[in-house]
Amino acid sequence: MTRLLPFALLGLPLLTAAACGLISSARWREVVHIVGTLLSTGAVVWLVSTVMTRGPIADNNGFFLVDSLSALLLIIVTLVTLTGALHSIGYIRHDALHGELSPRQLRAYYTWFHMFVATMYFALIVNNLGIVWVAIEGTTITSAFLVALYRKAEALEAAWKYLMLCSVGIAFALLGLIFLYSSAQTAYGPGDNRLNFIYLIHASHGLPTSALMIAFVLVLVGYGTKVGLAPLHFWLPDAHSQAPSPISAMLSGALLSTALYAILRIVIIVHHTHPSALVTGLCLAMGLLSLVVAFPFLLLQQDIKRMLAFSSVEQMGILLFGVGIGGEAGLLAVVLQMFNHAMAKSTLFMTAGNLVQQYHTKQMSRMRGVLKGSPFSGTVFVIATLALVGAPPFSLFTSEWALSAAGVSQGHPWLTLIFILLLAALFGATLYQLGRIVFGRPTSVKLPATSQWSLWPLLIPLCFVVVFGLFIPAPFQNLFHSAAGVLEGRLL
Amino acid sequence: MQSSVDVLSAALIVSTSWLIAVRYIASAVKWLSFQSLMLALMTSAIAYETHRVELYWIALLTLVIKAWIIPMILYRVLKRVGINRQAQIVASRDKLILGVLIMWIIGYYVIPTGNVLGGSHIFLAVSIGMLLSGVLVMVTHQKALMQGMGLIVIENGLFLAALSTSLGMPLLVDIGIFIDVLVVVILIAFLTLRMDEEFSSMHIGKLRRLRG
Repeated sequence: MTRLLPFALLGLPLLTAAACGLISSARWREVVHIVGTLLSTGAVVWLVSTVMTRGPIADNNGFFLVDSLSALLLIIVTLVTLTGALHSIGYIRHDALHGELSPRQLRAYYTWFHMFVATMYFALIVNNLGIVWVAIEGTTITSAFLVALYRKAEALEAAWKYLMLCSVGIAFALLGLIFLYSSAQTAYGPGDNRLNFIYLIHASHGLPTSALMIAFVLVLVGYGTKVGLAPLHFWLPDAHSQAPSPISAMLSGALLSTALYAILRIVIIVHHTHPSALVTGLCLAMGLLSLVVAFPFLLLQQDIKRMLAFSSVEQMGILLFGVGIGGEAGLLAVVLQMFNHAMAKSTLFMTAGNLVQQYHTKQMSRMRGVLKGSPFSGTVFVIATLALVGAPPFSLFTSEWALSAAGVSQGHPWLTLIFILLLAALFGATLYQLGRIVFGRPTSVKLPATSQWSLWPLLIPLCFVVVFGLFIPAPFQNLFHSAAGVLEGRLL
Repeated sequence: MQSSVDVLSAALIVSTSWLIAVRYIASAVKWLSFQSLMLALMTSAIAYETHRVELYWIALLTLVIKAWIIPMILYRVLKRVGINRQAQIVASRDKLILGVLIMWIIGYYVIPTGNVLGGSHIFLAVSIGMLLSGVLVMVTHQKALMQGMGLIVIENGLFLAALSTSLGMPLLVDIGIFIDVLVVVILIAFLTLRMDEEFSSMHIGKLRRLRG
């Protein structure tokens, strides 16, 4: 039965996508959409609990690889997807009602939604790094259709930039994998499993350091484009701001983490065999650069979704910085931060979607007094923003604090100091932006009500952010610790 | 045997260099198809030499998908928007040719000497040159369809890199990449047509609304 679960993870979203494409009644399509999402959520929970109790699915020659790192990412993607799926109903109904989406576009939305989910799951559960690449490129394609959904000039522009920049970037990652594959073949003779993660972990002692380093740099640059690390982030704010809000949430919460996962797999291999200053240095440098680049754009931003997008650039920088810091405590903090960011940011994007639909604008200068104007969405937005910037007692405070402490104890006190100063600056910038929409008199016109579908699902990710700041339940602690163990190369 | 592979790689160099400086987009599509055909021939020549059956399949896939279906899709898009569309470039043609030459030279010198990566040195150099030329096409061309073709030149370069260093990626990976490339082309076609509807042009200079 366990053997079949990974297939279910691919099959269920694909079947749902096909069904959504075929059903012409909007109501029934929504039913199928929800049922399909719930079924795949169930499959993920089942798979993850199996992996956590009975150990990873990790054969040398196996097609699938599900260890606790993939399990953690699967949980992140699933939680974001579940929330996004529920939120979509209200969001898409609103746009259909206002004539922004035609029935054909509705059908396309739900179909590509599930294709997108399937490609993300696919990237997280396969063993062969080449197939991981295929799946990541697949996520670009499926989500580009979603970014272009509105077919307006801006949406087309965002989708085009997204497709071109990410495809070129990721081409360099493939070149890195080709070098890795050929050096493994030179060292150990030909074989189809030479790109399998499990094989490379055990065999990489025989690989020449130079080949590993070339592969690492190319992969970092390649997937780094997809993660949105500065200076390769130019597509990110466009795509995140033009996509429908549930999709923005999934791009930021789920997809960026999935792309980072692809980098992490290579980092694990390199660290396992040839711990090198180049890897650490590159991670620290690109991480800090992302924080530096994000700051002015975040501070001067007018568009609420672009503001959140630059905050994602910042957060990915924090994660990469943490990977550079390394060590048991540092990597545990990275794992926590990844989870917390996904929860907080997806809440924010979906709430921002509600506000944009209510105020009919993305400009923050025209959204005033959101707490009075839109009590539910406004309150959620404030809580989630406070959580995102790492204010106590929320969970991101814990992980950012742990990361800084790890930075000092791992022997990077000066870089950690710069890191903390940048975090403080970004903290201020984000709060300033929050203040702009919270304070001020609400617009006198009565705002249209938001569908219940767009409100209650927001509490799913928000719960995690609030509760995990106070205490983390034992199963999750277990998951975080063993995912950090995989990252460290201990639990392989 | 070796000589035929050499001739084919020379054909790859020529087709890539010409593709960047064409006047009409339609002729770029033809050169792209020609380039993929050369790749398919090269794959089957190597398959013949090394007796690897799966390479014949890859050659067949290259022939069908890259040399036939993809150019056909691009050609259809071009017919819809007007077959006489000209390529638009940011620099003059002779500068572009010079640029491509520099890419070939970089490709030649950037490759690590010695047998760190295995495989043949010169083909890897050609593949890196193709990859960089593809990037150059994307940077210097202003029409959406030409940028898309730059992307496919990059893919072809990667394919050659895998072929020359390790006789192709594992079969499943290669098939996955083919599917990806095919869907990317469909997406490019979709976006190009929409852009043409929206702006009556596929000039990417029209894409300047999103800033900061």
